[in-house]
Amino acid sequence: MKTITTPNGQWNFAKKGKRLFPAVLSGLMLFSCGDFESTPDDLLALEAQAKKSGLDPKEPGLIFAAALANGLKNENIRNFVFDKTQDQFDGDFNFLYFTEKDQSLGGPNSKSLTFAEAIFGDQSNFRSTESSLEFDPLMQVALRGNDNQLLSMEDLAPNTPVLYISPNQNLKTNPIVPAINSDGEVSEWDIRNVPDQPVLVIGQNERLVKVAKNSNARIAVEELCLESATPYFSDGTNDYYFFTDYFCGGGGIGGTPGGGSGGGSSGCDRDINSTWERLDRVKFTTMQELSDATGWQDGAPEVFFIVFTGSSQSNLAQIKKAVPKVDRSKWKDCGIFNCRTEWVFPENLEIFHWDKQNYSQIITIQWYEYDPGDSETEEKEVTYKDPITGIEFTRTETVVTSNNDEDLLMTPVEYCNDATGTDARIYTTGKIEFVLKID
Amino acid sequence: MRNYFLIFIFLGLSFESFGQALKIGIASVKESSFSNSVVQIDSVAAFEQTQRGETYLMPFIKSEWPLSERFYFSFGVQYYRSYLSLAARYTSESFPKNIPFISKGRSTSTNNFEFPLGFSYLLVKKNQVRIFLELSAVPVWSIQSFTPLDIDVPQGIDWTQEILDVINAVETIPNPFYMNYQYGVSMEYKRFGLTLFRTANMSRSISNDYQLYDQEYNFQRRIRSTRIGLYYSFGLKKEKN
Repeated sequence: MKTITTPNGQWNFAKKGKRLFPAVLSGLMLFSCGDFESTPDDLLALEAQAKKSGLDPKEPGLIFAAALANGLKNENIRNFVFDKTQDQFDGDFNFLYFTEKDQSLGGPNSKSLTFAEAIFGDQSNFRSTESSLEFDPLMQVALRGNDNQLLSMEDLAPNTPVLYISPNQNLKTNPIVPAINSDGEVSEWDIRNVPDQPVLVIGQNERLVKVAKNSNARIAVEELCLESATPYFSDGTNDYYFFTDYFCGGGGIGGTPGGGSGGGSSGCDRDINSTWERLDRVKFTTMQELSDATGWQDGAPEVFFIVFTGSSQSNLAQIKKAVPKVDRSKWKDCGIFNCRTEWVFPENLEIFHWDKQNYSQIITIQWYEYDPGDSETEEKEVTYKDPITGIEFTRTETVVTSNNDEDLLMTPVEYCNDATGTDARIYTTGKIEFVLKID
Repeated sequence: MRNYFLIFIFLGLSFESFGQALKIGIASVKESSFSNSVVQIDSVAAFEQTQRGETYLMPFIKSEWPLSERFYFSFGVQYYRSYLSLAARYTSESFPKNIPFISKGRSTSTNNFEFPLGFSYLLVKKNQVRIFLELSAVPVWSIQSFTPLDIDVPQGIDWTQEILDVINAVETIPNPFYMNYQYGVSMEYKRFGLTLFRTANMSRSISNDYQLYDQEYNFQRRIRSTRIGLYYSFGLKKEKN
């Protein structure tokens, strides 16, 4: 592993140590008829890295990533890319190459230069290969990294690394992807690690759904939903819809290119009400489960839970909360001959604010009953997937409990589950039941 | 309530029917369970949540008959309630990537009536202190009390009929009869006694195996416990010095 320094800070890449950009630059500038004319040795680093990731070195997206990394030396390109990511057409810091490639780059000396020309060469000056590369219309340029850093960014650094995530790469089995920076270095990046500084990620947009214009093909999908929806863009043979329109779910976030409206409002309780999640009530499913978790001689149950939020930020990935300790009698209602379990209502036990941008749309809640004992560290492998870029990464979540804790098991909670009023969903693990509310 | 009622019946029996001495007490049972079985059904793995020291209370009575100056024959009844907890951990292609698995579970309780039958050896007898070594074979009848989980399925991404059936099949595991052995030591001062003994299974497994959809799966489990109790001895015949 080698640490390299960028203007924004330090990067910890497993560096291949190959100079790429002289090769890519010469290749991009001198290629003819769609092929690089650079010497084969110059492309070895990229090819080797591509093969390591199980990719075809001639993948258009990979070539685009290399070209973009090189182009970031140009301030106009940097500004263009940064501005487009800030538009957040689908709610996140990304844009589609397909819809933006013909946009004017801007800048004092680039009035007539489009983004594609700036990246791949002006037709008047260079023989462009852009037309020979078949880019997936859903290929996007995304700005990724720590959320706080993304929000506070004002521009792109010239040496911002560009990662390429191929739609053909199985990130679960092979999480190493090529990373290229403008110094001409090809590196590799383990996408299970969140970079310390923002990076550009070339990948597939997953908030848009391709629907064939062919009427027969459209019948096969939710035609009724699409009737009232406007595609975000079309490429001649296909329309591309926000997935929320496609699945009749509403919740479209951005607008169409050129400022048109798109998407729609959502009916989820959590979309309408933005207050914090709170534990409304909790109870054991049966007296057996209560006694199994904590015998009467153990006194009051000490119930706590860990919320796995799916956040890529380590400080937000787990939220641990305890149900306020109440007397054992509050957990049950006993008559003369038998007992049944009772709901316990914690007062104002707020958990977190479920912001879809920061947390997964499905979280899991793991329940325990605390019993004193030695500290026990359990490591759970959790795979995360960025809902927008599709970046998958596995991280080891460390859960510290007591070795005597009673595992009351877990249940998932979906963002659009009812969370208000009397129809708020009651979740159960089989051992414990609970209700989350936001009203 | 029925179980407590039975105990009161035992306690209510005439002392004369119990021979030389009748000891009545209460013990704390610290029980650990061990299971090495995982039932794999498609993408569902069902296994026992092994316990590392659950504590239960156990009333007991014991009667002793002298066989010689130092050997005694003993017979008793002891009762406690314990739990068997089954967990199902499962995955599905429909689960989102940040949820590699979900786990659910259910417990069943067993009312354990134990009838230790064995011998005591009077190791020390000094002044009013007596120390016994004890060894017994213990037939155990376990009467199960189980409430199946009853929820509407399918529900969310986690609850399916299969998962519900898998965890409710915990009911099929407990064996209604098995044999234990127990050994320990008791120390008496005057009529008060302190007893400490361990109990373990005679057979390799006390499970009735796991049954689901008319299919039987091997399910081995054992339990072991350490018990410490206090008792009061009703000596029906005063010993002559």
